[in-house]
Amino acid sequence: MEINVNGRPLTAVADLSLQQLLQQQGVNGKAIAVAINDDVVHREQWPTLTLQPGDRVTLVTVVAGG
Amino acid sequence: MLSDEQYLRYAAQIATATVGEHGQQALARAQVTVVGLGGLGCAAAHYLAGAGIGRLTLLDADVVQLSNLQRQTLYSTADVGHAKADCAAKRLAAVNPTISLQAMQQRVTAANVCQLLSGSDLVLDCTDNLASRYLINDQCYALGIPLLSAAAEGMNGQLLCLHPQHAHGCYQCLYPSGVQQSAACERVGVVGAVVGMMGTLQALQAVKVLTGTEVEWGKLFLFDGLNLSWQSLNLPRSVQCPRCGGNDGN
Ligand SMILES: [Zn+2]
Repeated sequence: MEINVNGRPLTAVADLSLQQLLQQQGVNGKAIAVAINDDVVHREQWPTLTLQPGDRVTLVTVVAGG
Repeated sequence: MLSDEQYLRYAAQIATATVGEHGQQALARAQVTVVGLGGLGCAAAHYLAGAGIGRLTLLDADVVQLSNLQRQTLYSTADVGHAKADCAAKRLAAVNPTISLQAMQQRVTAANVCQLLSGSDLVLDCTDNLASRYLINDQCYALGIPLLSAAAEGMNGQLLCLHPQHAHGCYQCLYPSGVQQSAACERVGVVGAVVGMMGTLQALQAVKVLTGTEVEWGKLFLFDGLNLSWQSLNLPRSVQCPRCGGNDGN
């Protein structure tokens, strides 16, 4: 299936969980927040949330500087 | 009633539909606390002082360093080595001597945060570290005070508008304890105009909130300074959040 990660198209296998996507992409889950289709997904839901075709995934880097 | 001087001083914003005369009076009655007087706090406090916020409290424990001047617009070279809180208050008093300014050379801690934020109508989180951000979020939720939290690094900015009386998530829902900043702030750096813009947006949201203009609570606004693009995300409440979780969480 086709999804989109931070504005870039990505071909992913069906029934991929958000957690699996992050692992595949080598993302450090501790340094980000994640949104799907503009809704933030809490990390306790990452293992059980199954991505759907066309989903837009946004990886938000933790930013705390000021 | 506004004085003749107030009509003149604030004529430009009184002329807007957003502020008007009633809004100007609301700003004059407001108490706002700005925590952190770095790149965010300098920009935010400057606009808030200019706008005539009645009581403005400024908190920062640091002294001005030469490397701050690239982005921290309230300070001059002669201020290096002096307390940011004092320098900022002096500069802002020159901008607007008609408001009440309280500047404290203080860092927020678990022991003092309640006392420092109590009585505020609105808090602006302009700090530069996660520990302070958690403390401020916790205390704003405990006291029921709306919170405008901004951050910037590199070419990216984030603005989060939180209202404890609304059923969206909080700072801790977005970044639960245990998250890490990708790298030390000094190494990532920040472009002055990016952090200044995020502080300016905090001031803009503050003026809207205090004048009773509708704002979108529970939104995270992301700014990409490289492409000049924006994205806004909805932040739902997490049932697992120790601060705001429970009712209406998901
Ligand atoms: Zn929360």
